[in-house]
Amino acid sequence: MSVIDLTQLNVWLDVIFTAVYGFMLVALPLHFLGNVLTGRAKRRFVGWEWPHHDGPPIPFLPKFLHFQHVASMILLALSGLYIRFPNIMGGLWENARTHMRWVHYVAMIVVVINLVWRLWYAFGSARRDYKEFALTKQDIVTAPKVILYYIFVKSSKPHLGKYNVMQKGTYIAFAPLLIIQAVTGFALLTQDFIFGYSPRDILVGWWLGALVGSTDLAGWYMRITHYVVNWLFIIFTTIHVYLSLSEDFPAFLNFFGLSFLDREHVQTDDHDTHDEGPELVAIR
Amino acid sequence: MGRLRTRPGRLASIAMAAAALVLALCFASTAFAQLAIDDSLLTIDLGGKVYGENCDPCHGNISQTDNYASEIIFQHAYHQLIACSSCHSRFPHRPEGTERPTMAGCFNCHGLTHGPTGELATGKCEDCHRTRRERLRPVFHTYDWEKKPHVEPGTKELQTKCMMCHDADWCIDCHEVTFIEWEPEGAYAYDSDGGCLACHGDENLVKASAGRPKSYQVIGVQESAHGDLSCQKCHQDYKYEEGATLTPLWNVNAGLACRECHVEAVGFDEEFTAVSQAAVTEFDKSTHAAALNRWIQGEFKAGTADKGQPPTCADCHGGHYIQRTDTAYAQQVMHGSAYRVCARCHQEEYASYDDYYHGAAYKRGASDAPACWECHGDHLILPAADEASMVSEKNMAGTCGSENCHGTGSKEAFAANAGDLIHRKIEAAEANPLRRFLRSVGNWF
Repeated sequence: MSVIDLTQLNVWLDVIFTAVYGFMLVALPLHFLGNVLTGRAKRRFVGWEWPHHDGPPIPFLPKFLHFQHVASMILLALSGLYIRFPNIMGGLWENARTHMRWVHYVAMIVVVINLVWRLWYAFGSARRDYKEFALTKQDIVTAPKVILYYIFVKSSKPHLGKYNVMQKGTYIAFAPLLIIQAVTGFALLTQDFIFGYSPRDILVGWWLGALVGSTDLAGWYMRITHYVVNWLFIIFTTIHVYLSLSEDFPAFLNFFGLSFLDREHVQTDDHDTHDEGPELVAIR
Repeated sequence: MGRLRTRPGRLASIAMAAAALVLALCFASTAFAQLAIDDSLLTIDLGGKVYGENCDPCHGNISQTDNYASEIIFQHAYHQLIACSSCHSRFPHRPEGTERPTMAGCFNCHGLTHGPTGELATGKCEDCHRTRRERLRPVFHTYDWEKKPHVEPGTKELQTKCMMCHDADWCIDCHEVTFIEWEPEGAYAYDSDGGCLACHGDENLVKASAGRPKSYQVIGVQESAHGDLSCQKCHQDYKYEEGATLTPLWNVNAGLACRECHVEAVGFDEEFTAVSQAAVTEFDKSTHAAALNRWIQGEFKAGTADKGQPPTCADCHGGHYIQRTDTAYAQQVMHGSAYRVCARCHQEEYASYDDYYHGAAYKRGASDAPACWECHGDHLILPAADEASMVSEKNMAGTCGSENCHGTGSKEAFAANAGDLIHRKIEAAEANPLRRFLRSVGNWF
């Protein structure tokens, strides 16, 4: 038997995450105001001074897959939130749950394919770039400086490679979170199309179901996990979008094939120290 | 000087008086025009092919048209608001003479137990006939009628011709004496078929009810599942007989009349017969039926623990516009009708039905989200405290685990935990301290 009050748990999760997200939507403009007040915004958007990037230009395929991933994540978030909160769009989307489920399924498949491809790209391809994401001792040591830079206490941050410690941490977290999201999402399917069993039966029914007393109750815990991770993605992605826009707008344009909008920028350097970073494999 | 001063004043007075008179006349004529009766609005027309404009050259003032049937208590003058075609279904001046309307035509409006036509001329013979009742026998009624083959007309015309003059005793008395068993297929009652629509088809049939205008127009019958039934099949109070109804309340009688067909199931196929009979049997055991019985007996107190007026079949399934339930569209309509069916009485419960995957989705039209009756039962609705209820503690797991819902994945543990969410999420959200704090901060801003 479950000892958790599902009603209270669900309501608390709703309240906490909507409050956090609401707080974040207020905090990000305030952060940008900090950029304005410290002159960083003027330097970037008026002087067009943006961080320079080491390494070779990014090929088309990763850019396309990134775009595809962004689109799928947005669709997943919208359709997922609609499935949980059918009132989210007021009366705009009536009777759309079935359609939203299909959107969710399709976007989920795209994201899973992207994840598999990205893991292969990171570890198995000729350009394998997993080292760029590896957290080093230096990252940990310099992390406070990076944080101080972003909260405007310091005017520069240490340069340790392509990504800073916060980026690395976030991107590293994305992979297991995506796997958790795929598994928990799959465990919500109750249609018994796998030799007479449903994905829920196979993934959680036999063990968690037995533990909590019911396969569907186990499904509820999967649903709650899925919901929590969904919020983590929404929060991380929103911050990611904000920082890419405010900290490295040309890279943002470049990633979406909009480099023609990027006027010749002056590459300056906010970094106070430099590290050689991981050795990159030559382009073939 | 005095004349010079007064003359223009007098002229002005006259001019003003004249203007006032003209204005008064204008206002009066306008008001009169507004007050004038618009015949086209009040005329009752049963839809025949005799048009008033064709009759007007000779019968411009219908009140001056004589009553050629002196043995009938009838005046054309009484029927000035009735379209010619309502009684004369075809041009009445035939080579063989003037064709009189049939008595069945009169019965379209007369013989009612309500309304002005019912009060002026009821179904009693002496209301319209000067001739003594015993002498009103039609020519085909011979003295040895009982020896004639009258079974067939007794079967086919019992509710059309026979019951205009006779009542059940005429048949029963004779059959009891002669020991010939006879059980009519329908009730001993005259059925005016669609005659009610002579008045109730009129969109202008509006009367004051409880201080407010109320339309008595009936719409939707033709398109409904009962489009081929006559009005009296359900409105048994308006049959041409007394004491035929179960209660003194017409709307309850209409609601309960369903059982007459749905229990006897005449003309139903085997499957629909079983469904119909089960529905009636289950309803009789339900809390709704118990409340209805208490209401009929005057023990029901709406507004206390008792909700509004207890429901009869029609309250849930609809009255005149009742839909079929055997088509996909009808089932879709029925599925989406929880607000109309349940929430009118159970508003709080409907408002609290707002969890993520059931209530909120249902209210946004999700076809796979359950309507109230999919958990609480349809005809056999019982309080949750009743062990036999679908939502009793004992049966919850089975209800959640029905084939089209959670299936075998639902067990007691699931029903006890997740089931609570269905009606309690709103309450829990309202009581959440963080939410209340954030709201108060928001309000402060």
